Amino acid sequence: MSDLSLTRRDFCIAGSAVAVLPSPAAAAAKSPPPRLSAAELVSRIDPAGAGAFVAGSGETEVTGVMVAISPSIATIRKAQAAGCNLIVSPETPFYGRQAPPPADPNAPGAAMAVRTLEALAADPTFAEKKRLIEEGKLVFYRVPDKTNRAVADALADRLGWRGYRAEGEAAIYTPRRATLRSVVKGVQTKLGAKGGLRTIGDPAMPLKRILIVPGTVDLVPTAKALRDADALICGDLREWELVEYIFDSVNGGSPKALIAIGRILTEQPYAEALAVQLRAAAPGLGVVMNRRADPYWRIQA
Amino acid sequence: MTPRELVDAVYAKAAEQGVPAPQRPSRRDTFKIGNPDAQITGIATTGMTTFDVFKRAVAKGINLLIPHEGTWFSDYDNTDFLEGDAIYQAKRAYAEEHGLIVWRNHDMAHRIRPDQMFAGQLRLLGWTADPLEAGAVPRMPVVTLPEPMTLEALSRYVVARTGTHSHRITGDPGMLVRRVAVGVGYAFPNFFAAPGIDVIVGGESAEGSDSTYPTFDLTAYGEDSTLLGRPRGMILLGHMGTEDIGMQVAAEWLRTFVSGFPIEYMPAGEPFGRPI
Repeated sequence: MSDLSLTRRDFCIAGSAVAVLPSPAAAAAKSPPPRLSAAELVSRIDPAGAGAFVAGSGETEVTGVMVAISPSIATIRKAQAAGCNLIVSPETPFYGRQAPPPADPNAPGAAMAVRTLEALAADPTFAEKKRLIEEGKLVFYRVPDKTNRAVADALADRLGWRGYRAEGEAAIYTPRRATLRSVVKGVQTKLGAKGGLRTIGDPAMPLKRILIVPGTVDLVPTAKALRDADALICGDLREWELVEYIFDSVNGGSPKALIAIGRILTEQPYAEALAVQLRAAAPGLGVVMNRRADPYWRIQA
Repeated sequence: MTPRELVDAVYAKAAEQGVPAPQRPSRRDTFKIGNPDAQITGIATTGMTTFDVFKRAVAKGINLLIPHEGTWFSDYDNTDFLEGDAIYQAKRAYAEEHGLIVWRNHDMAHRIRPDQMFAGQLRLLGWTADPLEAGAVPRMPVVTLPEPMTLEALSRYVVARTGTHSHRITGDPGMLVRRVAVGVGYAFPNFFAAPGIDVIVGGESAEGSDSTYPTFDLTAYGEDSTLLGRPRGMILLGHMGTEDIGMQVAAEWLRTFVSGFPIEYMPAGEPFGRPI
């Protein structure tokens, strides 16, 4: 079937990079990799069991681990080429939660959900991905993302704000002499934000307290935390809710800035921190970090 | 005429045009602030009643605003979480001080046939929806382009027509596009809406695999599909890049049965700034 010809499109991988983290212990000792199951390994980085296996069995013996922000087919192929059978990611490989459609067929969206699930079940891309995962006996572990303050801390670390976390529940950081322009430059140079970057606010505006919400924003807790902050760095957010609130903040007398960079980039530093943790948790085991570039681009109007 | 009388006239006109009455009262299409029994001095329709739209309406002596989206920052304009919030209080105080009245027209604008929001966006893009195949279920518009073009060329066309600066595009710029699915606002079709959809041109779509069906992570899906030799992409124009314009259609429709004061379309515009 021509739809399934395995043409590799260069643009898809141009922005990605595979980095095998240095493994001096393994190199020095030449010891055989430890024999351990996927469940044993992930319990060492997620002792509370907040994540979940979303494909494959936790009983599978791990040959190598790939940490990936985007568990795409390109990622799967790279994992297999690198000898990894466990993929750890904040996302699932199946594009959405494997949620059944609403039990009530008259519920809003139920009919469309049923049609979508049927279409997905018959879709060659989805089928090929499932085949790759099943035949490759691959295991996918989904780590919790935005509920984990480590995700915000990893992003702040990347922006150079280690040690600037404010007291309190919310992930608010207080870097010195930051402006909207300087923070934007930081996310561009340190996270690779390109076409996915969207901002609200005067570029010269000083930012003293910056709230970080990785991934997708939950409206109510974020709006409440923002009262005590003057900027929000986040992944994805609904434009007729919190975006309107931040847009109105200037006229409302409490100007706030928004730096929305897309879900993938907000989770990337956390994924890299996870790779470091996995290396420490299983010395000698191959741990590969698969970075992902900003998937969005833009036409210069 | 009062806002309450206007709303009655809207429902009566819709019923006359064959729009079935809603099964239950809309949770979105309600008065958000102001006195529904005041006299209307002028009407502005808009994609979103931002504070900026409030100010522009006051400057023009308009007291009734009809937005498509919310005023109080949540889908159902629930204000519980805004108690004590300075921005909310300032916006509310401004509306009260200037006698502004807000009645949201979201669900009705989508119920009218053709859907006013899609009608506006298709007109802006200069496209006509393909007729529905026999037996196909109703869907968001699908458009076969007059001539196939690359995603880059399509993007230039769409961005020029809509004038958006905060758009986001995914996919291979060189991929050939023949058939496009059109979305507005958060109503974002997926690639399975009809056979042969290459690109979705819509407003905003949930990212990541937290999203439930049918809005699964289409960026990830498009990337995998492309890798397997079936290129797919998306042009995300933003919520106001796709739903301001439908409220122009709503204003034109109002003028066909309401008169006695100015009725104008006042686009909210993109909330996002120009690229820094």
